[in-house]
Amino acid sequence: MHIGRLYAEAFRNLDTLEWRPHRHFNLITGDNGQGKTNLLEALSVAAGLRSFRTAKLGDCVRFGADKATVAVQLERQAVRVDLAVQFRASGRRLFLDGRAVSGAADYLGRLVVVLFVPSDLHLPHGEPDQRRRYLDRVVFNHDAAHLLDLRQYERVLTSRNALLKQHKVAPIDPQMLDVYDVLLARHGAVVARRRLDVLRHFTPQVREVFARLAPAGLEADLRYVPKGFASEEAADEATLLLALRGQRTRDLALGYTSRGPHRDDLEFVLAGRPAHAHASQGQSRTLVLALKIAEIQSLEAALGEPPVLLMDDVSSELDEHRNRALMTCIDALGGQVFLTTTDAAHIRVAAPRQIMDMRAGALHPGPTFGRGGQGSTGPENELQDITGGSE
Amino acid sequence: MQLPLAIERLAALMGKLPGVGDRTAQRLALHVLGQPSEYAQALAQALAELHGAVRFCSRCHHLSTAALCGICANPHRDGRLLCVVEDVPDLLAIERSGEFGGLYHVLHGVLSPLRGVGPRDLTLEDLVRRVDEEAPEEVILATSVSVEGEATASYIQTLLRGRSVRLSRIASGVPQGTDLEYLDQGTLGRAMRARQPLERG
Repeated sequence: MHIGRLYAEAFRNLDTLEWRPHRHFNLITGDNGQGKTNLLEALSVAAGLRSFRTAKLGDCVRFGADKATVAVQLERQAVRVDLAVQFRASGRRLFLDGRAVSGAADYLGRLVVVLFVPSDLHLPHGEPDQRRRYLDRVVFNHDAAHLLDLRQYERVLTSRNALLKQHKVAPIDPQMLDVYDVLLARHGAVVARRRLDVLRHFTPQVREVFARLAPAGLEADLRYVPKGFASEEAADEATLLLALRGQRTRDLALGYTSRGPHRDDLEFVLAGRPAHAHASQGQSRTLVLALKIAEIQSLEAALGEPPVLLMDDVSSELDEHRNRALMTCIDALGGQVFLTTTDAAHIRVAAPRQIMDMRAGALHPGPTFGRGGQGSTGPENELQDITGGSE
Repeated sequence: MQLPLAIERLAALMGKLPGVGDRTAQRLALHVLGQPSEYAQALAQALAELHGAVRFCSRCHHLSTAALCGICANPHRDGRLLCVVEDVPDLLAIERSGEFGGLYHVLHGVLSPLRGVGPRDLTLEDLVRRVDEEAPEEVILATSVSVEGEATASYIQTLLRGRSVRLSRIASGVPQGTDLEYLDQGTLGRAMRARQPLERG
């Protein structure tokens, strides 16, 4: 799949933008604060209706504007679909081929992107919730039903937590907690089961990619670490229920549910030891790179075509060797890539490309550089690339 | 343009009805004004008598004019079946289906810790008493298929534990006349899990 056209209006600092990106490789250069990340953010909002920087889409509306619009023309296996999202502080409207659609379910899943931002590099050392979100995204890519199950689990969880909090004010009916223990165990087992199932396929992929990137002999692994159980028990409803009952006194004192799939962790393992404690910075970066590449490959297998890649200034964080590995992967992928950088010298790909320069929220055709020397890759050449049999 | 106070007041009251906005409320008020005054009289009388004339059935908590509602007072209803519903509209929907000849019990809500609705806010004590006194053979839990509806059904299950009554939960799955391809994945998933065996021809 690729984006044939992008339109953005009143999105953060971006000027009203109408752009026909290259179908393979788009490099966006520019100094910090010019709007490069905003452009990637606009694309990720068009894909997933969520921003990777803020929980409230309303924050993306340019100051003083009433609403923002992002529209993309998506080409997927030669079928063109127009996706548009219009949002303001109070809500959002979605359009498919110009017609309003009511539910996100009809909209999501058409444009599929993989995002790679510098903060991803902290994944091995960061907070468990970041790793859980990563895992749930990988699981969702395999099985869209995961999102619904996760939401239901969260609804039961917030209900149980509300009960625990009420107990601090006035004693609650213990039978109510019994009921929510049973429901939480039932929905929690579904969530954990699916995570474990997907990891069984996904972990070997990560191991394989890592082995290609890392020095010979160094092995990586992923381990699902439920808080307080062995990993296979996490998906067992009866075990979960027993644990919830066992921790009730503590949960009542805390006012929240102290264990369950919402607290489980995905541990990254290097040479048999937990990466968060033992990996060097370089090793953990290689690990994250392997995770991202494996995520892209698993999505490609699921979709039957490569997803669109959005990479925000990642190359400057990687050394020469890892950068080359990443660029090789991008070349091999053959899908559409949007890559921002402050220093174009990092970027060496063989794929046909378009270079744009972001200055104060406006995109300008960029300079020529890099290998190949096929001349300018402005919009005119991009058209030639599309029509001129670069496939 | 200002309207006479009598119209403004009626419009303001109409505007409190669900699904009625300011402009519709004004249109309704003007419409009532445009009708013969007998209509307004009849409407006013119907409204005035509403609360005095309607009460809850002392047995099942359905809306009623007498101590017992029409369903509970009907000797042809099957007292061996007791169907628990969240609210009156749910009862009416099941009645329209014509599939159920037993008695009802209306909870007037669902358990929801998030909205502060606890067991005492529902008619659960009466339900337990009815099961003990009327000894139905089967209690059908027809609360909605949502987290709150499931929690309420589970809670009733705990309340009735140790009693000999049979408990059942209404099925959920594929609606009649629906193409599978248009079903949401949650519904379809549940329908797959709750599939029914067929007799071998």
